[in-house]
Amino acid sequence: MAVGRRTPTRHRAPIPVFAAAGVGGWGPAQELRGAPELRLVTTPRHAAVLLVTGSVPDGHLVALRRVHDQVPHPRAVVAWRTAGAATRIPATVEVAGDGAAVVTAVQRAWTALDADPSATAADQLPDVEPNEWRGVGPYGQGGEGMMGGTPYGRPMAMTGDDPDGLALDELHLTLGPFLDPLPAGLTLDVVMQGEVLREAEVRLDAPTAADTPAGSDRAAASARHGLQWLAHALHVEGLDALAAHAAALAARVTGDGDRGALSRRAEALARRVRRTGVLRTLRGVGVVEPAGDAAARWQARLDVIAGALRDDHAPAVLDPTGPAIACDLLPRVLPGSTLTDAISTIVSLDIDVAHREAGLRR
Amino acid sequence: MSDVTTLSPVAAVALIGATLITGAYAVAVIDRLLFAAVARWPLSLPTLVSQPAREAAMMHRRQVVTTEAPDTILWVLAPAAYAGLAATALSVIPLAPGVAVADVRTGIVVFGAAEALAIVAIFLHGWAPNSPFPMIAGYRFVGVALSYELLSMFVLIAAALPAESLAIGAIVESQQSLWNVIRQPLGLPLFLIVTAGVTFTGPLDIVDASDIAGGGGAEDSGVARLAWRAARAAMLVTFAAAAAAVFLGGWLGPVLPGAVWMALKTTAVVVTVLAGRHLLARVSPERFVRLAWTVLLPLAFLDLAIAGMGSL
Repeated sequence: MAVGRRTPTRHRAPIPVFAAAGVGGWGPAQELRGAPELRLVTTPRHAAVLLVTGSVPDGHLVALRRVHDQVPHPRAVVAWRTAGAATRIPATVEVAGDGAAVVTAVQRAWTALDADPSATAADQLPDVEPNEWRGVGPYGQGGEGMMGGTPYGRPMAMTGDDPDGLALDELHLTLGPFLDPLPAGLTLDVVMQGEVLREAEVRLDAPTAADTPAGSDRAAASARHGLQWLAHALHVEGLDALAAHAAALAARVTGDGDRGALSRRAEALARRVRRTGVLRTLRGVGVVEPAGDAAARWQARLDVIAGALRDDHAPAVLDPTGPAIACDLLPRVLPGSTLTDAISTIVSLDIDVAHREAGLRR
Repeated sequence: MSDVTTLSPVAAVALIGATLITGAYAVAVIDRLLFAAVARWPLSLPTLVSQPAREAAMMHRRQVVTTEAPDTILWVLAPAAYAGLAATALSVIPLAPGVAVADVRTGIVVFGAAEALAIVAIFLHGWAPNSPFPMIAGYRFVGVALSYELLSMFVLIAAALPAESLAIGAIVESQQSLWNVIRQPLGLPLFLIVTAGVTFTGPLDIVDASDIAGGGGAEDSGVARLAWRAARAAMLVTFAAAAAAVFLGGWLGPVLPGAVWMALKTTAVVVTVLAGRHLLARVSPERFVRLAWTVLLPLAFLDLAIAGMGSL
């Protein structure tokens, strides 16, 4: 069925896009949730187009290549405002405009791919096992690596003590840096027993080229960033439709325009968010002194967004914690919580580095 | 007490297949419709009705990826088993007066057995890809599943009490005077929570969750992903049909034929569950288990007590 060529664009199914966001591109990528022509997916396996935005630190290039190869064929790559040639991944299309330009570019890339699936972006890494395990015997068997060693380059799951007095397997995982629920550039090395995190190490990599968002209107920029954060946070909590609404609202916050109407819509959105019960489910999660729990942070952020749209002179401070402090806190706060609560905690602490660079946070 | 009514095998397969396929498609359309309504996007009915077909065509053409050393047999069998269990559970539900694939005397037991085995299918779907997030999704789900299974057991038995039979056809006929949703008001809300759990939708979406980057379906692509999503929609259709039959009077109703009433009531339950998906935040597994054992299970006992007193 030749869907691509003959179907009018408005009838086409939404194109699944995975946004691999570097620093500075994370916020604008969230605004794409409001575009009906695209669907931002949670994992590269569900995507057809890989969208690389912002500046990707050098240390994350291998991870980016792996994410690129995880997108099933036929695939296309769209690069949006990447700093120079920093990605070093051949992109099908390069875009420099705003969200609408990206949507058009993705549609163009998808149409080309649909017409000619063999024009798929080639794999970046060889399809071999990253670490080969060889024993000492003549047929590759035997050796000391089987119990407590590192077969195939990965630490074997050994048992560790549990606070309940059990001995459970410990799973060593690296989450990130392009994981969907985490902010850009964040990598978590965790040790888990079951659903509970026992240890967590945080690495937040700064980009090689800082991408300072333009905009002299601090209140508008703050409100826009807040709505971008809200779109992502609602998506992580399972509310994709409300996330799309928040993203569409974020795209409409510019320096000019009817701020009164936007403020009323933001307040209406905040009311709908409260009615979903998300604040109740986040009560007691991720308690960080003195900022309180995740529900308090959500509440404060909703108030700041509405306030920044209402009043130009309102203090445009989104989060007094700041990303550097947050990253010091996480290894202390996360252990002992379940993975769900850990992700909710990280999402509730706004750790987008680009926003700090722009001086919009204390 | 109803006799065992059975259809011929060919008619049975055709009926179940047609119901599940059209039902699953309708679930996809309703889901997109509610999404557009909540997101305040412009609603275009022709686009929304054709969208699931276009998405299915798109998914069909994508490569089916494989991970490192997966359990391929289980990866293929899990969606098939899940859909098969949905078909099994649907077979004991009367879709119209006298039309049921197998309205056996122990229909509630068969339904409960299919529901319990669904836990295995969902866990195996997470186990098979040999990947961290699907595995976490699988065992996280197993930790929660027993909590809502118990609720289902009690509310279904409470509904069977006035009928003095475990056959779902008899339960429908016992509602000639009054629907179970009115004389056992706690039953339907608790059963909707069970539906959300078994189909891992909305507040209980702990399997394919966005906070673990897609969860059990994180490594699915192409036809495998389409199969899993279709199986999930089929299970939702089955549970909605069960809710309609057991609590909303099934095919009973004036003027319109029984099959139409059944379809309308099933659609109403589907709309309710999917609206919950877009309007209610996800509950963490730990919090839900606590809620289920301290609040919901006592409510299920209360429902059973109300049913018992009503049958005296």
